[in-house]
Amino acid sequence: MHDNRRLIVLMLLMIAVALSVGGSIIGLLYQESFEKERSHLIDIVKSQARLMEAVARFDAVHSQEDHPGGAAAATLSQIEDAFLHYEGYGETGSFVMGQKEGDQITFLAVYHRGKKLTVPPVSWGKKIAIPMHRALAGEVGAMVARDYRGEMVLAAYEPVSILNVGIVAKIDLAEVRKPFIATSMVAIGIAFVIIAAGGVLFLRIGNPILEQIKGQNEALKAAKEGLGKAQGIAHLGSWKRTIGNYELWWSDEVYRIFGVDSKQATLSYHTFFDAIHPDDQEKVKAAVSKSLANLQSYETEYRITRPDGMERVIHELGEIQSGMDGKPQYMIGTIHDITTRKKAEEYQAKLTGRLEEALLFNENILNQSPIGIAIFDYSGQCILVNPALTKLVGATQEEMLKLNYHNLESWRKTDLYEAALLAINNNRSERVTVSTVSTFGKSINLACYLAPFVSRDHIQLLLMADDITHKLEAERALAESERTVRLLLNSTAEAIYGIDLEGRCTFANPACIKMLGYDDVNELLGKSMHDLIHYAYPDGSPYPVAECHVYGACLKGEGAHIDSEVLWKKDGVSFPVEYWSYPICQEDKIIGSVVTFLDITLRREFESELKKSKEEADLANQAKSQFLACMSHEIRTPMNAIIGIADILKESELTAENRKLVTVLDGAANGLLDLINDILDLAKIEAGQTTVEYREVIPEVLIHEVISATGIDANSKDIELIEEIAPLVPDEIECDPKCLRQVLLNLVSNAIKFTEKGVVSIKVEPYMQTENHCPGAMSSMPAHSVSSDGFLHFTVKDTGIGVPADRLDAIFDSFTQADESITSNYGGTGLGLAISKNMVALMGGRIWVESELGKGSTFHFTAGYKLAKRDSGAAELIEAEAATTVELVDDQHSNPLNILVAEDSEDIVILMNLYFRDLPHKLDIIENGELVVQQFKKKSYDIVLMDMQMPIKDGYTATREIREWEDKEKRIRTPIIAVTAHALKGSDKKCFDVGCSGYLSKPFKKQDLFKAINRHLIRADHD
Amino acid sequence: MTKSYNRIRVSIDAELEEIVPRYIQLRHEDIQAIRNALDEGDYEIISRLSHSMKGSGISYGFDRISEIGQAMECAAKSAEKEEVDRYLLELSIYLENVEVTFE
Repeated sequence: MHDNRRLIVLMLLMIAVALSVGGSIIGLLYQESFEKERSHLIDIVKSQARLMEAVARFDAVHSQEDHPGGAAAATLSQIEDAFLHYEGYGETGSFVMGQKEGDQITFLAVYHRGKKLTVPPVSWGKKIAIPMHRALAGEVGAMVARDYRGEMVLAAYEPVSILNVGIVAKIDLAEVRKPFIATSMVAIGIAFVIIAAGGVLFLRIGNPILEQIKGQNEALKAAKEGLGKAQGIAHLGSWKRTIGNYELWWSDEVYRIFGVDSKQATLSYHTFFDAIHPDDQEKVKAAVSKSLANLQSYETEYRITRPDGMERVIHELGEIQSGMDGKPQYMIGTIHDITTRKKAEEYQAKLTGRLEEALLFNENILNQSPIGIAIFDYSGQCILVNPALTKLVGATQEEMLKLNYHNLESWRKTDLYEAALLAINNNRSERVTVSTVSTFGKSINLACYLAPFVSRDHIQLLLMADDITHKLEAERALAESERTVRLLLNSTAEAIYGIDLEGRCTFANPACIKMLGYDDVNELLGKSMHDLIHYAYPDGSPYPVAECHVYGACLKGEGAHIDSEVLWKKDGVSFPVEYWSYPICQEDKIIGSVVTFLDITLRREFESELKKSKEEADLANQAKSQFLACMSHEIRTPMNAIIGIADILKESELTAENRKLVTVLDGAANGLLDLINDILDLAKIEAGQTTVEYREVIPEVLIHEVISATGIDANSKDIELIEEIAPLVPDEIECDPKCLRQVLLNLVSNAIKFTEKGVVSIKVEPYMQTENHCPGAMSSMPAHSVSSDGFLHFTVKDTGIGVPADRLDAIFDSFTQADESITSNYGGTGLGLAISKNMVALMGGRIWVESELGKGSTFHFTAGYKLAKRDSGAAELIEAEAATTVELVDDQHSNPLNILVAEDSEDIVILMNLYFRDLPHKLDIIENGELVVQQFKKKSYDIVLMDMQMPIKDGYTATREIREWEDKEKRIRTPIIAVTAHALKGSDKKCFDVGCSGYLSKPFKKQDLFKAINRHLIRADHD
Repeated sequence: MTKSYNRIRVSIDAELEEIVPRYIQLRHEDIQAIRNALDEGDYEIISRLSHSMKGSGISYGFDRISEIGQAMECAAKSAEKEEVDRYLLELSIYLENVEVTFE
């Protein structure tokens, strides 16, 4: 149909074309011919008209003779003659002469092809013979009109006015047309033939070709569209670039990829290059350059940033395309957006990584799992087994992979097989414990877990087996130990119960139940024990739980031990108990307490009896002591009388014999007095009447008092008394001076008593807790039960007879002396050390002795003291000097003092400066011994403070030099106070040896410093 | 090992208020110096510094510093590294935790 329409259209077209073309040509030719004919006819007519005119004129002149008709007739006849030989023209060409006669046109002559024709006249009004009409009307021209016959003719006409004739040369239009018509016919014929042929050709050849072309076009279009779509789908575009300039062509897809509007302004290489990621631009440039250099194709990948900000990854291929001359002209290639692919690749890699990791985990889990794992497929075949299981079973992996559980005796013999079937059939997991024998012959217990699962449309079975042999053994052992514990609890006579954090009973042993008067443990379990048995104090008053020691201790995670409370039995009767509670911990958390208790009713009874007896004894003792104390006065009075009188008698005039008697009397009386005093003292102490009274004591003073008291005795025996007070002994303390003095007095007297000659030294130092001072010898009661701030350690050492080692123990007992002979040789009551021991105990100290027979003894004791209160430190005498105040500015020192200070310690210097800041005294501070000596010589000072440890030259040397210089210059010695941190024995002696006037130990307090300065200034004044 | 100590309260004569902070700072420096000396085995320095401490502590109101000084001096004289270390630690803890009120 399509074809036909096409055909028809073509035909019509061709016809139209042919007709128009042919028609035009023919028309033109016809026109030409027509014109030619017309012209010809006009020529003829014109020439004839001329001729006729000429003849007429001739005839007009010459005609009378020849022609009777007139000139006109002559002319006409001549012309007739002429035309008789006129061949005319064409087939229908004819020449007509006519005349108007009335309303008719008469035709004089019509000459056609050499013949003269006679034509009937025509009516003037008729629409024929028009040309003759015109000619007779006097017009000249040519026209196409109907002639006298009524036929259409081409005629030229002209009047010959002389003759009054009109002439027409005419030819049938048909004749003029004839050739053309014929031609046209032929042409049309030919045309039709051609058209027909054309049609046929077209159908046969043209159409198919057209179809083909159309098809090709369509195919091309489709192909182009397809390409475009394909590019779109593949995100692959093509590009072409002219080498040498920046002209660039992109397919639509490339525009899309680059996010650029294809209709926008010109595309150039820059559009492309600028979109590339800065880091990749070099790469791309290099690839292209290399390609151009080597005339090779290239491939590269790079990132671009689209105008909308999105980043894409591009894969580009490029090739060189040469022009006709073989030189590189273009670069063409593809641009492929591989962003998705890249992302996919990354994702793939990630997935692969994860998969590998998962596989690794899996493998690790299987390999590391301590629990045996195996998988069996639907046929029962083992397809996977982990190392743990192979170890459990005692087979290799290969061996196990050959196994099928349907055939395994180890399964069938135990519940394992049944469990497996159950698991598979019911599609649920099963647990079963089996006891089996491993390939090593060892009996093992396995806790097995079976679980079915589907894998690739098949049911598979997972087995996990845990060796619980040890666990079971542990459980058995635990059960065993629990039995043992239970046995213990049940058999012990001690009551034991346990409570949780709320105080509720968690267990109670039979002894507990019985003691509390219950029958069954369930009466106690879960109940609050405090409310049940511990709810009141012994006197019946309520005992709140908050105050309960058990409760408190439980909360703190501590133990408690109380023996002053009671428990209440079921019948409401209470009984005294001693109980211990201990916290129970589980994994560092307290979960409760265990309480054990004893019924101490009997003990209490014993205790109260004992107490009663003791009280009675004490009362008796006290009564005795009180008696003695009261009697003290009664006894002493007559004793004093006796002694007084003996003294008087001694003074009086006596005979030698009487003097001897009085001496004996005096001695006996004094001895008796001593004894009585000692007994009374001891009695008083034991009676508890001696208490410790804390008062301020200056150790130095006290020792001096003791020395004073015993000095005479010592001197009379050639014994040197030495005192040594260690630097760190506080200047002032609080203790009982009476006790301290008495003990010291006792020890020193003893030392002097038992020493013939030599040295008795009294030393006091701070008691070092780290030292162990009880080698062998007995010490008294537990020391340090008295609250004190510190302890002093006193030592009385002598060079006397010593004490035998076997007597050392008993020496502090009453009425004991080392030897019976002692009493007779040395006198004494034997109570002194006993009293001392008691007093030392009162002071919270200990007393002990070291001795070597024949060499001497060293008695030690410690005494507790409290630190002296600060404000009581004022106005105390250090020695028997005049009262001093701390201030240096007083009446005696109205002038500012010059003080030379030798001190290298920056700290001390800062301190000194601070002390003297607000005082008018001048301090010169020198930091080494050499400079000090120089300085001392330069100026006169009131007092020197000399640090004994200085660099370059120490204080000792400096002092010595100063003293030497003073002696040489005959100067009065300036007081030099040695300041030293050394607490060595005898370091003070060393200071005095080099000439120091005084000694101040470091660290010192302000008042120590000022006191020392004052002391030595006063002395200086007094000197 | 860390121990937390309660603040060690020391009451000092108000007169010394200006010089006590510096004293404490110097003692901190002493600690560093003693540490260094300990590393190098220089007991001479330690002996000297601790002797100084002994001689000044109580004067400034820090009895404990005198005690530590004395003990450290003994230890330094016998070149007992561990003892010195121990007292050094005590000293630093003391200095860290001491709280002075001036009266």
